[in-house]
Amino acid sequence: MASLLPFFQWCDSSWLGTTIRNSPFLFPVIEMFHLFALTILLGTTLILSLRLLGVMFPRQAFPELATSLRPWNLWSLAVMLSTGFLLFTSEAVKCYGNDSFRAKMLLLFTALLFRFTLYPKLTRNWGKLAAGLSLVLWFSVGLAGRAIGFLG
Amino acid sequence: MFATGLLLFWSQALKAYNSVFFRAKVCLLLLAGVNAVVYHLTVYRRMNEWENKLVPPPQARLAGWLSLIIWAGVIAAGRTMAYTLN
Repeated sequence: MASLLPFFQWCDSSWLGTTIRNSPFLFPVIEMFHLFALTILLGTTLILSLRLLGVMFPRQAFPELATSLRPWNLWSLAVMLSTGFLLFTSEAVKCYGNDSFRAKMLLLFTALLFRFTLYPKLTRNWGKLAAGLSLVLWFSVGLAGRAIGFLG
Repeated sequence: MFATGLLLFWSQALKAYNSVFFRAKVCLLLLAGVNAVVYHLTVYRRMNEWENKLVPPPQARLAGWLSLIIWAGVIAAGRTMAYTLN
């Protein structure tokens, strides 16, 4: 990890990072959009997972539901990643030493990798496994994210 | 959310009482409730007339927009409250 420190320092001292850090309202406003997108990302993930588990919408075919929710899922993910990056630049060096942040990034990269590789394949025949992994991974990202502020 | 929210509130009730954002959040929660009740007592009761239409009647759409805006406001007020406590 030590080799990544210069990148964190560069983000922290970048124009973007300093501007957000020195503004009294930019961080809260960006975080709010991060949270709005979070409700949509976890909401769509939850609905799709409950459908795969057979708990919700039993009469609606999964592919149909997945097609309707895909734009919401992907756009909210895009908003989460971009606002998350902005928040990160404003306190990158603080994040570097934060175990919760490291856990969150590991979980996030695992969740993203899973979402775009295994997940689409698993939904065909291993729906319950896909749902379980998806729920655990994404909700853990959220939990670790909350811990950044509380635990350090 | 109500149960956990009540517990969180309990742990810092006085601070919350003095926070403008907490008060705004409670007002918004009440508004969200009023919006839902009004929707259920009016246009929802006539759902069989419009459930198969491509575009729901204006009153239903208004209830939908209000719901989205008010709940987003609840998040905004709640998050801002945490920044302004202490």
